[in-house]
Amino acid sequence: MDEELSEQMGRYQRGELAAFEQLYALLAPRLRQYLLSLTFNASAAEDLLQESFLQIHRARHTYRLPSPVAPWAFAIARNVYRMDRRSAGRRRRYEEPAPESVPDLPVPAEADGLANRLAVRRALLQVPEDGREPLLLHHVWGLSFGEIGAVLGIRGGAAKVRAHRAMNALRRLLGAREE
Amino acid sequence: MKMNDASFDKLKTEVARDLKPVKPLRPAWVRALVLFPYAAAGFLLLALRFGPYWETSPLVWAVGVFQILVAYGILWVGLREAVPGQGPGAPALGLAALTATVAVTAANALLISLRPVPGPPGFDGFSFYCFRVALLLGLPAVAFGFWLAVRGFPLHPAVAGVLGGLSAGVAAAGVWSLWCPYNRLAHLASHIGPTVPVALAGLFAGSLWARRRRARQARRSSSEKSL
Repeated sequence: MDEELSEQMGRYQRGELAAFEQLYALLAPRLRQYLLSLTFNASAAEDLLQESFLQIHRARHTYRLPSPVAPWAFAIARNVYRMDRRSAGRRRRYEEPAPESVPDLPVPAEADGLANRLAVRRALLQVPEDGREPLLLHHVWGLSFGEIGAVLGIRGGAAKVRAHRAMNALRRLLGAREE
Repeated sequence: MKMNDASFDKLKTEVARDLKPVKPLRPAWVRALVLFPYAAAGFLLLALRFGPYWETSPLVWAVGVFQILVAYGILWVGLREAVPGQGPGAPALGLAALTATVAVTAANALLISLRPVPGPPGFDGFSFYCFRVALLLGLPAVAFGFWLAVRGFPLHPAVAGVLGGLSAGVAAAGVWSLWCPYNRLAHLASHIGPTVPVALAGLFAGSLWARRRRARQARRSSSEKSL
């Protein structure tokens, strides 16, 4: 996957539209889920996804082969989310979802066996945001802790600690033993 | 693809409109090298303005060059900040700023202890003249550093701006110290002091840039909604 993304990025930088489509097909599902895990709102995530790809287009010259594309793209998407949240008058859309409407959050494989998916998603909503993000980035999208640190602007070690604490919180919420 | 076809087509059209080949940005350490010709240009400018009366003491040169190297390090960190997913993060930035402050302070303290040069009246304490010269040397450097940063894609333009400003201020103090050897503590403040307004200029430019980008994004988003 990583090599494929890097190859498409290289072609995209050379000005091939087909490469953009490929890149979109490879990245969009992950970025959409990521943005959903930040906003809890499918429609907002969809808007931010479009904006993220526009920003990716503007920033395409800053990507350097052979570094991994995913942390670069996640960092841009996260920034789009941050800017949107800071924009006046648009905070309301990020209110916590009502208990009856649990967003379709991605479920980490490690938590999948602990309860049904709905219960895991409900529990994920209760995990503090600063831990949920590194947890999902690592356990769902496979970023290394160093890469997560670069996306979040923290040290890799701090990202690891936060993810570990969040996983323990998730286990606790689901009634499983902590690790 | 979940994004509806109309949205994706719109995105694709927008991308296609501006899809020219781009050259990948050089690594931050290469782009930061530009500080050295800038410092050399500053030196030449001062030589033209004040004549060939620069300091010849190797110790003064060593401290001046060391300050320029520290400035290079700060600029390197700032330009890394301008590439998504490469920013060193808040703790590392704090550490970089602290290291730079300690390094510059220690180098000057060493210089004062080995070669104290009290100035004549007017140059023994804080001098607005020195402050102004260092400021004039630093301001174009911060503008140039900021331009380099926004040629990338800074996710935190204000941070990139502050780092560019710190770098410019430290480099300017290093170059000016080759002409002005007076190094009583109060006088050194007029060499290093301009780092503060220069860094603030970088912060201001970065914040303005971030605000403009946020406003553009908000405008696009609201026009999306109105369609």
